[in-house]
Amino acid sequence: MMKRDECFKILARHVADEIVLATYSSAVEWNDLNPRVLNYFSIGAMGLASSHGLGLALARPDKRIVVLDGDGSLLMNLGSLVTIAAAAPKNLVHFVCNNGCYEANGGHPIPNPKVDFTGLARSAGYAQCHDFSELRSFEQQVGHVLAQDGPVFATLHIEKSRPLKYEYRDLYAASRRAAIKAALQQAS
Amino acid sequence: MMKRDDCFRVLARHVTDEIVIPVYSSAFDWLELAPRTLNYYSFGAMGLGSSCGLGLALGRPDKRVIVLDGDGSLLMNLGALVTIGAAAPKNLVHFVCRNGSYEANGGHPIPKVDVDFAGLARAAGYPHCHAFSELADFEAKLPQVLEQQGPVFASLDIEKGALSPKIDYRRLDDPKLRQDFRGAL
Repeated sequence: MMKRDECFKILARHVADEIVLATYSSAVEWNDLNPRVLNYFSIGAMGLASSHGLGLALARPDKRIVVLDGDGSLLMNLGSLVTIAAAAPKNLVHFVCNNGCYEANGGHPIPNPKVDFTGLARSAGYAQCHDFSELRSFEQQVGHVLAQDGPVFATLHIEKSRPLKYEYRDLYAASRRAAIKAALQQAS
Repeated sequence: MMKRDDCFRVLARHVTDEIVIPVYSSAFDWLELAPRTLNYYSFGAMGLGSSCGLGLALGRPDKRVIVLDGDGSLLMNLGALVTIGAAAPKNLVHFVCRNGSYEANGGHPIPKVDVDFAGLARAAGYPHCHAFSELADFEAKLPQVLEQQGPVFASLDIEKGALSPKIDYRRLDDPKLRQDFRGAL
């Protein structure tokens, strides 16, 4: 079992010009650790981070897209796994933080905490699937995971985090979207 | 590859007092082959055949519930696999007719035709998962599949049979079918 913020600290060391899509609790923690223009916070349209990631990956094959999804979020839109596997974007890396609960919604448990998310992604047809529950193993392999031809999937077995401050108004801010849009237009 | 109506003919020989929940194209074939009061035709609420099956399985633990789902239908509500895996009703058998298309909606292909549905069910927590593509094999193993402690999952690799499609929603919409079903339960 790992802590999400520790995973993200490691991930942050490997992220350069990727677009990072983070959802709910992951968005809060990622924003605290690594505020940057190429972050896209997927909030409001619950469960759709991976779908937004697919859209961005297809539209911008020149960029790598890293989705920081949650297990509760993914379960709201599980068919997305099949759609992504079918579209097979090489530049998409889909992390799922598996803490067994809908953390941002009050922490109630997901229906089946023993779901094998990595198995679901493999059966759906993701090219590469990983499962991490030890920080050291994640640290050793994350560089490799990020460099693989996608779609890549990785489950991160994490604990529920410390209490987070969900400042949705700030995460929603129109200025953030305007900034990422401008950065992507410049880079295109 | 099997024909859906051939599979259902085999299945019909084994069905006695089970609740059978067929969806869309399966509903039309099943209605032709095995009209009975304990059929619950699931259509309209697209993708929810398995969820209706879960509700009936939990509500009536004394009955076995057989869902005849479609691959396109299941993909519209894929999270149902996890919910069913969690609720773990022993009396639920979930068949998915895999033809790679949204047949009742015009036959356009599902996003990915080689999805491993039995693998998805296994990862979601179904204790017994099967995949059939040969009729003789299906016929040989069906009694065991129907008797296993559920939730049981089985994908059937099928194509349309001679029977399909006899699409007549007005027939399925008939409130009498639901009244009879409720009465029988």
